[in-house]
Amino acid sequence: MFEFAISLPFLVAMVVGTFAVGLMFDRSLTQGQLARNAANMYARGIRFNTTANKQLLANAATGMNLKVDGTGETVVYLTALTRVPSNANCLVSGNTVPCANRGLIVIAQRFIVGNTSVDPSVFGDPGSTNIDSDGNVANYEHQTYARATVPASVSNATSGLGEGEFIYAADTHHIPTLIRFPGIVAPDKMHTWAYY
Amino acid sequence: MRKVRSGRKGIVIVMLALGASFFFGLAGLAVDTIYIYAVKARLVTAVDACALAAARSIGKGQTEMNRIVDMMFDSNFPNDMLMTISRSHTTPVITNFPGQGRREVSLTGTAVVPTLFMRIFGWNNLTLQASAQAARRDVNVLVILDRSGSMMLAPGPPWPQLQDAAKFFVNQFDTTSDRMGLVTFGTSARVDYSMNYSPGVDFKTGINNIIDSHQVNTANRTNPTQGLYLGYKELITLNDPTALNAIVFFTDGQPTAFANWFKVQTSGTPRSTSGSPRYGVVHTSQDHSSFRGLAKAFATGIPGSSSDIIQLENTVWTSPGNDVNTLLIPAVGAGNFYPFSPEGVGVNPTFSITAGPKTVDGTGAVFVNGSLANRTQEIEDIAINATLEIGKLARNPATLNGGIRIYCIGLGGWLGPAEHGFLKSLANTADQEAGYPAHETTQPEGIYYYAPGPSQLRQAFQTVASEIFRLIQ
Repeated sequence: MFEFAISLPFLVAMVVGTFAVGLMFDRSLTQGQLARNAANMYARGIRFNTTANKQLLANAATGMNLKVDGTGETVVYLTALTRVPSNANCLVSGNTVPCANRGLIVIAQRFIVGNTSVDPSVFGDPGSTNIDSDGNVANYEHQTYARATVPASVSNATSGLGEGEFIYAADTHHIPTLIRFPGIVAPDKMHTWAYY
Repeated sequence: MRKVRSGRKGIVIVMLALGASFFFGLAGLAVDTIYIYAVKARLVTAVDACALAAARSIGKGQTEMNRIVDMMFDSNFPNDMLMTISRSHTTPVITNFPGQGRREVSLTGTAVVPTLFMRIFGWNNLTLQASAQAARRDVNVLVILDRSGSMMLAPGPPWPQLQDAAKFFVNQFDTTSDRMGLVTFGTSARVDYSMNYSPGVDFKTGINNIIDSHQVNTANRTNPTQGLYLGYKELITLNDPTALNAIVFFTDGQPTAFANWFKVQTSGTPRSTSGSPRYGVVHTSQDHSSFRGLAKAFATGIPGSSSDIIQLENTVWTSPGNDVNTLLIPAVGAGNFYPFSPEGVGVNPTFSITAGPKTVDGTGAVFVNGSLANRTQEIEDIAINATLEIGKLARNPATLNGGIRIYCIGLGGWLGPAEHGFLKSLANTADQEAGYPAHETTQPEGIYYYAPGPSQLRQAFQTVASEIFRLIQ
C-alpha cells in the first residue's frame, strides 16, 4: 500500500499529462487543418468578406473558439502575396514613377476572421485603413505598409515567387486556454500556417 | 499469517515495475504515433498545396511548374521541420481526360522521420508518404481589347503597355487543352483570332503576333457593344460547356459608338441607294460635341495606322456639326432604329436598347428632333444599355452550362475614364454602383479591376488570370 501511495502521484501525473498532451495535440491538429482549409478555400476563390464565408472557417475550427464577430481565442489571417514586377511604374500624384516596392513581396489582399488581439499576422500588417471592403490593399505596389515578411523559399528572387505571381497564405493564431492544467506547461499561444 | 505476509513483501514493487514498463512502453508508442501523425498531416498539406499550384500553373510549362511546386513544398514543409531527416516530392504528372474538359495533376511527397521510442524495437526512422491530385478544368477565354483613339492620345500612351499586359496574360494559359480568342474594337469591332479550333493549336504565338501588329489611330471611337457581341458569339459557336468559359473585357473609356440596323431614307436628298435598313455604326465626335454615321461595322483586316472610321457604301457622309440627316433617318417619325439585332432585323438574338440603367428614347426621335447634346448622349447611353443586355445573356446560367463569366478591366483614361458602374454591372460584381442594376445572384460573378494608370495594367491582367486559375481548380 505504501509503495502504491508513493507511486500514485507519478501515475496520476502521467495520466493527466497524457490527457493534457493529447488535448494539445488534438488542438494542434485542428489548428493545422484550419490553416489548410482556410488557405485551400482562399486559393480556390472564396473571399472571406462575408459573414457566411467567415462562418465556414468558424465551423471548421471545432473547439478553438473562433468567432466571426472579432472576439474569441483564435484569429485567421488570409493573405494574398505577390511580387511587384521589377519594371512596375506607379501613378503618384498624377506622375508615373518607379514603384517603391519593385521586386519585393507585398500583401495584395488581406481578410481577417476572428480576434486580432490574439496575435498579429506573421506576414505583416498593412493596416485596416488601407484595406477596402473586398480585402484589397491600397497601392500595394508602392506603399511600404504593404511589404510582407516571408520565408526565403518565397522571397528568393530566382526560385521563389515570380513577378506578378500570387500565393495564398493563411496563418492561424490561438490561445489554448481550455487545455491548461495546473502545473502542466502549455504554450501561451499556438500558431501555424499554410501556403496554397 | 505473518509468514505469508512477509512472503508477499515487494510484490507491489514488482507489479509497479512491470506496470510502469508497460505504461511507459505504451506512452512511448503513443508519442511516436502522435509525432508521426503530426508530420504526416503537414506532409499532406504540403503535397495538396503543390498539386493545386501545379494545376494552376500548367500553362507556364514544365520548368516553371516545377519551380512553383518546389517553392510551395519548401514553404509548407521547410527543411528540418518537425525534426524530419529529409523530405522530397516527385515531379508533378499531368493526366489528360480527352472530351471531359479537364486534366489532373498528381504528385507524391515523402518525409523520413526519426523515431523516439520505437527505436527500442529496431526502427530508427520511418518513411512517410502522402499523395495528392488536383483537377484543372479546361478554359476558353475570349479577350476583348479596346483600341480606341484614346489608347494613343492619353499621356503615356497606354497602348504599348496594354500590348505588353495582354501578351503576359495570354502566355499564362496552356495550349494543350485551353482555347483563346481575340476581339478588338474601336469604331468597329473585329474577330482578330477566332477560337473555333481544336485544342492543341499554338494560340499564344498567333494572338501575340496579332497584338504586336495592331496599331491604333487616334480617330478611332469606342464601340464595346459590337466587340462584346462578337466575343459572346465566338464562345457560343465554340459551344464547349465542359470547360470554363470566360470573357476578359478591357476598355479605357466610356462608349462613344454603337452598331445597329437603321432605317434610312431611300428617296430625297440625301438618300441611300442600297435600301433600308442598313447596318452601320453611329459615333460621337472625339469631344462628344457632335455625331455622325454610318460607318462600316466590321474591319476587314487587322487595323493598321489608318482610322477605322470608313464610310458605309451608299450612305451620305457629312461633316460633324452638319448632322441633321446624317443617319438618313426619315426626318419625321418614330422607330428609326431597331433593337440591337446584330444578326439581322428581327433575327434572334435581339437586345433591348431601352432596357437598362440609361434612359433612352427608343423611338429614335431624339436622333432626329432632339438637341445635339441629347443625341450624342443618346449614342453613349444606347451603347451602355445594349452592352449590358448582351452581358446579361452571356452570364445567363442556361448559357454554356452555368453562364459565361465576365471579367472587366477599366483604365483611368483620357477625357472620360472607364465608368465603374458600367463595368461592374457588366462583370456582375457583388458591389454595384448607384444607378445600375443590383447584383444578379443567379449569374456568375466576375471581377472588375480598375487600373488608374497604364503601369497597373499588367497587375490587372495578372489578377484576372489568377481569378480564372482559382476557378478552374
